Parts: sequence; C-alpha cells; structure tokens
Amino acid sequence: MGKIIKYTNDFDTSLLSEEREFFNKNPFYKKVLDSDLYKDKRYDKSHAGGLSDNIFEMYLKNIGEPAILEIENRFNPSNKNFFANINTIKKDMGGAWEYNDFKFRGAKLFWLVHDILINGLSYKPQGFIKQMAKILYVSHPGTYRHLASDIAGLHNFETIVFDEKNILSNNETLDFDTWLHETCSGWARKERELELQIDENKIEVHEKNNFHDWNIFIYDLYLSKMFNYNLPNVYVNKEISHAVIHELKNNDEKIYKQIKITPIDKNDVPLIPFRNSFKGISMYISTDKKLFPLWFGTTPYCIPFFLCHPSNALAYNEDKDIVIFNNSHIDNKKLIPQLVEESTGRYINNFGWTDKVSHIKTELRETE
Amino acid sequence: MIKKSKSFPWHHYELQNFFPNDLLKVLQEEQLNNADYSEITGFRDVIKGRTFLGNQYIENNPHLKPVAEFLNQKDFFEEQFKVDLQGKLLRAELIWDRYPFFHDVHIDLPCKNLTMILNICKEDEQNLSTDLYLTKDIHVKKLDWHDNGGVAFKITDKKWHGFAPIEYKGIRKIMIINYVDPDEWRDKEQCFY
Repeated sequence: MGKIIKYTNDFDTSLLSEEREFFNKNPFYKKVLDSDLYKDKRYDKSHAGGLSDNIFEMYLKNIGEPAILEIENRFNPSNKNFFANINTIKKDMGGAWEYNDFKFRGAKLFWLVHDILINGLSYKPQGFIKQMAKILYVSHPGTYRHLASDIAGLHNFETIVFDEKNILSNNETLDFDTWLHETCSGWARKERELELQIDENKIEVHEKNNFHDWNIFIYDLYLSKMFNYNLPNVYVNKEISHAVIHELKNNDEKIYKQIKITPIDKNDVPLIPFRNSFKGISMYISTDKKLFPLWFGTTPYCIPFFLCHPSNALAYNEDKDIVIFNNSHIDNKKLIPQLVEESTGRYINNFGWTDKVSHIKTELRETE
Repeated sequence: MIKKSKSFPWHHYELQNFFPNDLLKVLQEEQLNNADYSEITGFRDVIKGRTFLGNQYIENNPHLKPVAEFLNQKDFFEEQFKVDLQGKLLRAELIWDRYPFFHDVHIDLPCKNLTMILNICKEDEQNLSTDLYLTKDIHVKKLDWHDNGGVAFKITDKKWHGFAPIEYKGIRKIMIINYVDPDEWRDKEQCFY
C-alpha cells in the first residue's frame, strides 16, 4: 500500500517528502510522445500496451454471456444503495469482478477507444522501457488507455516513461515536481484520489476510487446487444475468397473454426444486414493482403471491431475493402433487397444510406 | 475467498482469504518436511522429498484431508476461474522454500490447466510473493504477499511467472495447486481423487 493523495492542480507537493527522496535516487522519468516511440524503428509494436492477452479474442469468446446489467440489479441508479455500490467497485475486491471479467475488460477497451476518439486521453499512461532485440515499452498503469489509443490510430499522446538505461537519449529527464504534475494532472476529474506505489526502483501512480466503471457497464450492455450475443459473421469477396480463407486459416486455425465465413458477390454486400435479419455484426473483406493478424491473431491491438460503436452503422477503411456492418443500426435497416435493387451505384458505393460511420485507419493494416 | 481479476501483464486473479481459518491454521502449523534443497537450479524437479497431498499421503495424514477436499471442489473453482476442470485430478503441493531457492521464469505445462499459488506464511518480512513477467526476459510485477492469499490463473503459453532470486531468512511456506489431465500426468501418486 502506497501513500494515497487527493490530487488537484494546486496540490501541495511538500506532502510527499518521502516520495521525493525515493524519486531522486532513481530520477529516470521522461515525457515521451507515443508517436515518436511508434515511429522509432527500434520499437517493438507487438507488445504495445504491455498486455499479453488478446482482449478482443477473450471478449468474443464470452460474447454469449449476458451483460452485467442484465443479470444484476445492484448497479441500478434508481436503487438507493447504488452510489455506495458503484463507488466500491475498485476498492471492493468483489464488485464487478464477480461477473464475467473477460466481457468486462473487452467493454472497457471499447469504451476507452471511443472516449479517446471523442476527447483524447484524459491522463497520461505511465510505463517503462527495456532494450531487448527491439525497444519494448510496457505501459502500466494506463495499459488500456495506451492500447485503446493505438487501436483508435491516435499515437499523438504523451506518456511518462521510466527510462532507467537512457535508451531514449534525446528525451530529458523530469524533476520530481514536473513528474508529479505531468503524471497526475488531466482534465476528466476535478480531483483524483491517487495512490503512489513503489515498485522496485520506480514509483507508479494508480487511480483509486471513481465512477468510471459505470461507462463500462453501459458499453457492456449495448455492445452485447449490438453483437446480438454472437461472434461476427465474416463475408469474403468470392473472387478472392480462396486466398482470404487460406490466410485466415493459416493465421489462427482456432479462431477460423469459430467464425462463420461466407463468400459473397460484391454486388450483394449491401444485403449483408438483411441476410443477418438485421442482427449482430458482420464484416466484409475484399482484400487478400496479409491483414488477419491485426484482428484475428495474437497481437492484442489494431482490432477494427473495436471501432464499431452502437451508434454507428458502419466502420470501414480508406479503400473500403474492409467494411464492418452494425446490422441492427437503423440506417442499415433501410437496406431491404428492393431498395438495394433500385439504387444507383453512387448511392450504394458511397454508403449513401448513412453518415454514422467509423473509420478504420489505414496504418492499422500494417502487419508486423 | 475474495478475488480480484487483473489483466496486466496477463489475465490472473489475485486472491485473499483463500482457505477457511481452520484449514489455514492446519497448514500454517504443518511441520517442515524432509525435502532436500541442496541442489538449486531454479526449478523444483531437482528437489527430492517433496510433499504432495496425494491419496496415500492424505491417508497417512488424515488431518490434511479437509484441505484436500476443499481444494478438490472442482465445480467451485471451475466457476471461480472459468476453466474446465471436469475429469481433472487435483495435484496439490505443500512447500517449505528456503534460501537460496528461487523459481526461474517459466510457463506451466498446459496439462496442469489451472495454477493456484497460495501463500501460507513466511518468516522473513520481505515480500516473497510470485513475480509476473511479460516475456521470459521482462519482469513487470511482484504480487503483494498476503498470508492466505495468492494468485490463480488459467494456463496459457503467455503466462510467464516465477519467484525472482532474493536473499531471505527462514521458511517461505506456500502451496501450488494444479488440476492435471489424467491421461497426460503419469505421477498419479501426487494426486488426490
């Protein structure tokens, strides 16, 4: 247990004399722009965020489970005990963790991706750096925020890096007061309850109580409905289906066996929501580039499904050769066969039936 | 038992208050075994005279039977840790580690299915808990030590862990629990069923 503080922008740093002394023995903290790290040829992207598990895969494996809010009325805002309960989620070792935590973690990542797309990062992730065959950056605390920013394709954010071996020699080290301010200040909360934990020779600043987990419950509920409690169906342009299926199967046979893959004529793509009874999520692929490690493989980031949002009808990349349909979205429900049949190419090919779209960043398609 | 799910650097559960008090007391009072720690390699397989709560051992030490029965609640642990334990055999080891023993960074055999490393008690004041690694080479976290706490995880090829070398006094008493596949695990005398 480290020292707990209530941090505001006018926080009195003299309260942290012990931490200052500890810090000054190992003053190797730097502020680093993630995009600089990301562009560095020495940087190993395969462990971006510092997570070993594929959160997306864990989420989808549990997609059939009910949402937390569907099985539990404890987190009901109209319940007089609601605030007592919600405030203890992180403190109480029970709470949300009693539920399907794989879905919880997936929903957390979904929420963060979309929150970051709207607002940018609220607080800087912290982490440390190691020189292996490549530079490996371990992001913690803030692993999910880092990962979510990567998925969103937003690398222009600052991180606080413990660089003991001075691997990023162009970046200057921070003094204690600057480090504290950079690590603790942000814009989402007026006051933060933080714990300064000593881990070996470095200090980690951990968020304590707040209500942000409520966002995760909401996302969990609406994402469960959006996915219709089922794995996404995958449709493949039948002209290249053999190559795509081969690539997918080679990449991860376990996943390949779980998902339904259907070759489709490219003219029938707008009928995908209709063919799925306007339920669930579907993906259309019309490229045989080596893309699959990005979302079906073991790398835990760059997963376009995380760019789906319940309020959006489509997510697609610049070339429009990867399109994700939120089949139950009101705009996709326009796509009955009769309407598709009578519509011009301009309307169909430009996705003229909706402006509720997410963009899959082209750079996400780079494979390691 | 209380548990907290953690995803950094890989999914695991931090545990507290694992055993009921009466069982913890039995384990804490259990006297040192005759294990031979003269050869230290970073792995347990060279240690001779280890203590497994197998059928015969439990028959000879009936006071430990409630511990084995508690750990053999496969339905309960299956539900807690979301891992299929049907048809698996409980393999529980009671361990009295002493310096200079350390446990090198490793991943567990898939046929062990679920690993629980439980901290029973220790004589040194330092944190002698399990270390977690992102890769074989990258240490990222030392778990907190709580008597009657520990860590549980479903075994995968990414879950690197160990007990990093550290100088410590006295005994570090822990338990390591697995649920092994009977078709693959040959040392059935280690198992309780």
